[in-house]
Amino acid sequence: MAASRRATKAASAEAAAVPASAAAERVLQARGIGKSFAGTTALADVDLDLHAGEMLALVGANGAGKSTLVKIICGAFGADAGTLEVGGRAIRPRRVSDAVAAGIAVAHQHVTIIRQLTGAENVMLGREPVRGGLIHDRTLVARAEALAQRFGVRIDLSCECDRLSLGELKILDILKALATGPRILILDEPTASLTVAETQLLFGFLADLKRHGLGILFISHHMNEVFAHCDRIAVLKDGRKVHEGAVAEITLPEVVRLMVGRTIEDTDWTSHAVADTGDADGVVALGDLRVGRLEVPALTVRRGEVVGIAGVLGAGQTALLECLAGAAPATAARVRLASLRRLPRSVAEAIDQGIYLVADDRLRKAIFRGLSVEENLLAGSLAQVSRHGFVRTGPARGIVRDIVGRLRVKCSGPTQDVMQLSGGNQQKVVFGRWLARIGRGTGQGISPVLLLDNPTEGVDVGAKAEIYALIRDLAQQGAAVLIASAEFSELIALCDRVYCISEARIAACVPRDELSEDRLLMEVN
Amino acid sequence: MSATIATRHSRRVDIGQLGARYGTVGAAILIFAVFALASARFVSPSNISNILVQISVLTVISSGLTVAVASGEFDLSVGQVAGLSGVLVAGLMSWSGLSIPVAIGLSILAGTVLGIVNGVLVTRLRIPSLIATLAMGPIALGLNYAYDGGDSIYTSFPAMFYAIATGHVLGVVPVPIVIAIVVVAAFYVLVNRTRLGRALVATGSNLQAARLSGINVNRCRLIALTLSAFGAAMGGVMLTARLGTGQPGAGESYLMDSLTAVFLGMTAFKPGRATVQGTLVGVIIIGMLDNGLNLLGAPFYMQNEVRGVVMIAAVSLAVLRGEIRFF
Repeated sequence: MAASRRATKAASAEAAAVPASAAAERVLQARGIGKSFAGTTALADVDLDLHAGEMLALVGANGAGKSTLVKIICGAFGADAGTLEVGGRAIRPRRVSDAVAAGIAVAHQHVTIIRQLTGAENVMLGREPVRGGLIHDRTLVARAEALAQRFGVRIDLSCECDRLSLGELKILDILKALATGPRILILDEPTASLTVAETQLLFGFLADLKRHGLGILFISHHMNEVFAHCDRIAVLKDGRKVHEGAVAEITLPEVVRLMVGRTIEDTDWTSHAVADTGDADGVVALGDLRVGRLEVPALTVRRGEVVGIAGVLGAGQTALLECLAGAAPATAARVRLASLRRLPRSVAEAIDQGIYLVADDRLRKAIFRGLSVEENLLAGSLAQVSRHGFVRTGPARGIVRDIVGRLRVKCSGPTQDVMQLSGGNQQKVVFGRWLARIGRGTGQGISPVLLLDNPTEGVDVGAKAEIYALIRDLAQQGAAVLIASAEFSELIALCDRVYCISEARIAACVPRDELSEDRLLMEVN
Repeated sequence: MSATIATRHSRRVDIGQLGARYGTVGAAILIFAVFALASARFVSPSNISNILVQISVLTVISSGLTVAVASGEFDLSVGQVAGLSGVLVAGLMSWSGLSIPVAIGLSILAGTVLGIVNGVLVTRLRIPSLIATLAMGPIALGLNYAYDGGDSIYTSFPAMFYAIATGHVLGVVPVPIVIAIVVVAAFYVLVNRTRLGRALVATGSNLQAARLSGINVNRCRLIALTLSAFGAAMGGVMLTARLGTGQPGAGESYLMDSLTAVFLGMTAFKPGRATVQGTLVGVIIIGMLDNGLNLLGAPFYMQNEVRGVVMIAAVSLAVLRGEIRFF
């Protein structure tokens, strides 16, 4: 590890030499940035340089630490270690306003334009010129227009923003960030919701900004944009910077390899797909399903199979799994889902059919804060542990003890507040909720369908391995498992096949023997 | 490389776990001790019995409200619902000449129906319960005035009706105390021992997670608001029995007091959660403060100020300690 760190350092020193010779002013210098959350290292010893008039791409797989680094630079998080300099002056931003004062502006992925206000009002939001305690409209409009003119923006600032296109809103959003007079502009996935034409408009604008001497830090999953428009590229992998250099000196496959690394640790994969089940069509068979923006032409999961869904964050995986669990509306031409021939109408109906969803975003969608481990575990099988409306305390406790033991949930007892458990143990409790339900009441004897949405989010390595083992176990016992994950290594570790979402459509299905992080990354881009 | 600043994460230690659970009970005991030292009359059996009788109405109303808050909903109509049921029971007996059980049954039913309406507004029209029940308050008051013209209903009721307030079970225990105990026990069992109660509490903790666990969250919220109104209506009937008249504005003060009791209760036993046992502690604290300040001859306005301060203290403690969804 020490050797690789040294190698990284050498590489970054080399890369830094290139623009220095071009005599570009260094606007941002980050050294040795480190950050960990509750014992998990998010960033370690990251150096980064940004120069005036350049666009630096920051790339990395999900969870590589891009957003943590950006949040540290813009003051949303404090760093545990390291230093930041803007224009040669050391800064320690404690909140976002400190970073803004130091000359750092951020345009976030989602536009923060208020559609009921005019363009000028939006651009000057929070900085309205005041005379005698009242906003002075004429000055406000004049200032906004001066700003627009300076950066060559030709959008009518006098009309309300709900008449503008998304691309124009994005440009206004950036203009609003520029109103603070920054030297550094951070763009987080700026093209995420834009059409091709709007994206071109945006890059034209960004090229103008570079000419004004701004240093732009560009974060994107879209490699083609990086290679078409950025000057230099920095690659993060597992919280470390593994490369920094000119875009011209590296190729797309090389960047992908850097992002993914080459070590895939999991080796104990064995297929448990039940070959001869008599249901050749699969327990789950979907045809021409449409949920939100996502199109699913065909998707099949057989008994004992673990099937993955790969896609960039927010590509519609969550909506797909939720509609199968009866929790979101969708339309489908053909559905085979356990014994149903249509999508379940409610979560309760799905559960009765043996279809169980482990939702993403545990704290928001799965954990009952402030309630005990027992209450959390039994929330899905209240009818099964009750008689005449009363919870049968003895049997209920027995089930809880059984699950806690089987999953090795580390807790002081069934009555402990679930929020006192670690993330990994909380996630085991979420799985346990369905283990408690499987084989009880309706759905008994049916092979269950497990829908897992990012099931190891925020879970440490040890618990992750246990959850993988649990998923394999369930598949072995005949469950059909459909798993969406932002971590491709996870899909590779678990899946027989992986469906890939590209441009709001499940376009490809990669079989087990062709699975690799490079391949998946290519498929979802 | 420039100097590296490394800070170590400090783990939050739960030192005050015990204090967090039983601090409010401790405060209740402390208040009791202070008043006991300040006034010998405070601890006399007759005064203690008096306090318990005084808080019985509040106990019943607050227990119902607790169920609503536990399921994540507010009910700001409890005071006016209690007032409406209170005048209805008086009018139905004295004006319509209905028998005691029928009059009581109908007036409690009327209040409960308003709770069902609250529930429908919240679950079907998706109006936040805070707003829906805030609006239901004046509606209930309007119905109240429409029924009695805004005047108190002064008549003598059948003697048996007064027994609700002044009778004794086995010749010793006042009836209102018995009613309060039965109601508290019933709501306690409902929340803690039944399938419905578990579902209600899950819904109140995390609506989204409850829905994804297959719990019918709208049914839970509707039932919770109905039970809240049921408790309020029952309290209203008890209040009329105690006052001896049907007073249109009698329920008014119970909204503030029952909310304060529930919030106080959220600081006890299971911090951050509305519990029936916690609410009972809250009610007792309010009862002791009222009675004690009276005995000490505190000026009348003091009671209002103490109420406000206690509410703020309770809510800030509840918010500090737990993850509560307030509005």
